[in-house]
Amino acid sequence: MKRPLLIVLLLIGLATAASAAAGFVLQKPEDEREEGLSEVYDVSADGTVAYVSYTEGSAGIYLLNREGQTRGPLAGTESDSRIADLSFSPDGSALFFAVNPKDRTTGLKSTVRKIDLKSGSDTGVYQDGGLITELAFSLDDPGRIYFLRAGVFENYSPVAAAHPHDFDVHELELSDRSTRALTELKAYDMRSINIPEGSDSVFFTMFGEDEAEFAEETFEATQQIYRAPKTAGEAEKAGTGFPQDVYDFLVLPDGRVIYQTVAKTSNSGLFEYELFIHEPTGGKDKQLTRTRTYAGKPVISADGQTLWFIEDRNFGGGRPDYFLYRMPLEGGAAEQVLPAL
Amino acid sequence: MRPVFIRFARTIARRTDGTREERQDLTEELAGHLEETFRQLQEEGHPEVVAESIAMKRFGDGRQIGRQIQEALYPYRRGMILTLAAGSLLFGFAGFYAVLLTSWHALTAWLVLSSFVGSVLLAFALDPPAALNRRLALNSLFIFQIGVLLAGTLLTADMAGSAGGALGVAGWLLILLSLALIYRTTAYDYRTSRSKNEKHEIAINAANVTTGIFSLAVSLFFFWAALAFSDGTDRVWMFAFIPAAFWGFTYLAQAMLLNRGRIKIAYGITGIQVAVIITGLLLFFRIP
Repeated sequence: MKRPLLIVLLLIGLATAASAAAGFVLQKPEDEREEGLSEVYDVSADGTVAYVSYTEGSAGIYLLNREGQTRGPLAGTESDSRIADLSFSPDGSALFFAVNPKDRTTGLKSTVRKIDLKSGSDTGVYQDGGLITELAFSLDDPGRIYFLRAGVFENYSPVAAAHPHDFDVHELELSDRSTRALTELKAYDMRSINIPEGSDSVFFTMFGEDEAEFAEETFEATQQIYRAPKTAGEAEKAGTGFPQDVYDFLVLPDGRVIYQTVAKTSNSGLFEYELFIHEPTGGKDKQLTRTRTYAGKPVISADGQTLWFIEDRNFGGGRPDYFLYRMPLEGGAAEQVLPAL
Repeated sequence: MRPVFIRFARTIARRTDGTREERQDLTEELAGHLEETFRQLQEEGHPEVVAESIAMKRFGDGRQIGRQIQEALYPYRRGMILTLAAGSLLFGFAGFYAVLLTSWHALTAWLVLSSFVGSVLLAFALDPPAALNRRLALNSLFIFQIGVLLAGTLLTADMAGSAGGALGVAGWLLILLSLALIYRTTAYDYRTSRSKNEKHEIAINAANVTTGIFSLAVSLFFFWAALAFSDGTDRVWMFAFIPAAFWGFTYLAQAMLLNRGRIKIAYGITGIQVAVIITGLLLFFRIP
């Protein structure tokens, strides 16, 4: 072998070894890689936004008031845990949030914690041996939190990633910290819990009961809106006044439904998820967002005029890239709220 | 002919990718030129050993001549391999640092593989080893390189922003270049000692590269699907390799038939391969 070639090969080997060493020094454990705004947020009656942002994998809860001033972190987690969801209490005096471990393979557990927004105290409220993925208050009943709980975290095949399964709706009575299951569905997937003001039901989405008996059928199954009575009983499809094939949704006090569905497929073959509004009385559904990526997690302001939502600009990629927007519900341009411009 | 000239000519001929017969012809031709120069030098009064030495010295550097003949026989191939090697090495380092500095994840094993295959390709382009069956070695390297590039393209595809897109484009371009080199090595640059069958062998090889890409892609897709939709305890995944095995057996059968001069039957098998692929595609996409 010629000397110059030998030198070139040696240099490539050295560059590879140096890069491997740099990788060893610079890489972070999986737990510490999460960075920036998450999709978890809520808006209080006075328009204050509570949101979760990550710094080197550790979650922190921050507040953004109407004047655009940020406060926080009010509470947080170590890098081994994630804040799955948070919700303002109906009077806006406290924040409740659910914490899960990032590594769910060694066992499931969840903690519901409360931040008193006046005193700033952070206290544990409830611990669970399952995975609490979402929580929500009913405006009619400030003493109860409703939550979605997964019983297992499994992969249904060797190459598929593990996901939470065996979902049910539960309620947590804050006065005595007792819990009760409102459904006994052990659903494959369950999302988007919400309790419209004045309603006697808890709403959520899951795959149609008869459609996805086996994992491979989930490709053809559609997610439907279901309702479960607050007093417990049979969960049933929400009915004809609700949109079909819905991933995320929000029932407004006037009966209209904001929902997330696939608007179209992008040139690169990715679904584009957008928010639409459905009139229960009929008529054509109106498209609200035009992100051309992924819009979800709708939240409505107390006066019903402003819609808040999350966009993931790296949807379909590895790590999400979240942005929080607000827009007038009856039409108008969306304004980026977070990260602040 | 003088043994020393035969040995010298053989070292040059071994640097070309021709068949054994072509290399033999080339060896004899080069040795003939050396012999002629040697005779002239002797006539000029040089002693035998000195004339031998001067004849070889005038002929030039054996490696250089071998490379020039190779370039004349297979134009641009060295440049294509050099481009693939350099591009793959750059892609490897760029992909590694892009993922490291955005996701803080070190793809060390992939970088080592990428550097290794890139270096071997570089060595093949700059100083091809004479002792190997170069066509087999190069095709194996190109196939391995496609796997490494595909893995890199998928690993960097998750990155947010334009860096992921640029790396994706670069990865797919390098995969296309590798495929072009496989076609070139297997079909376009193909030489055979059975000159009357050469054009048929080239056509059947080219068809098999195409059907092979389809068959392997289908097998890998079914392998992924079998794993994705089973609990891993059954052996359904083994059925996924039927398309690849079918292609392998039919290619082997065609090679044997061509050896025996059964050209029409060999083409018939290509027809069967194509018909199976078209039927499979029609069934998969449910085209009535």
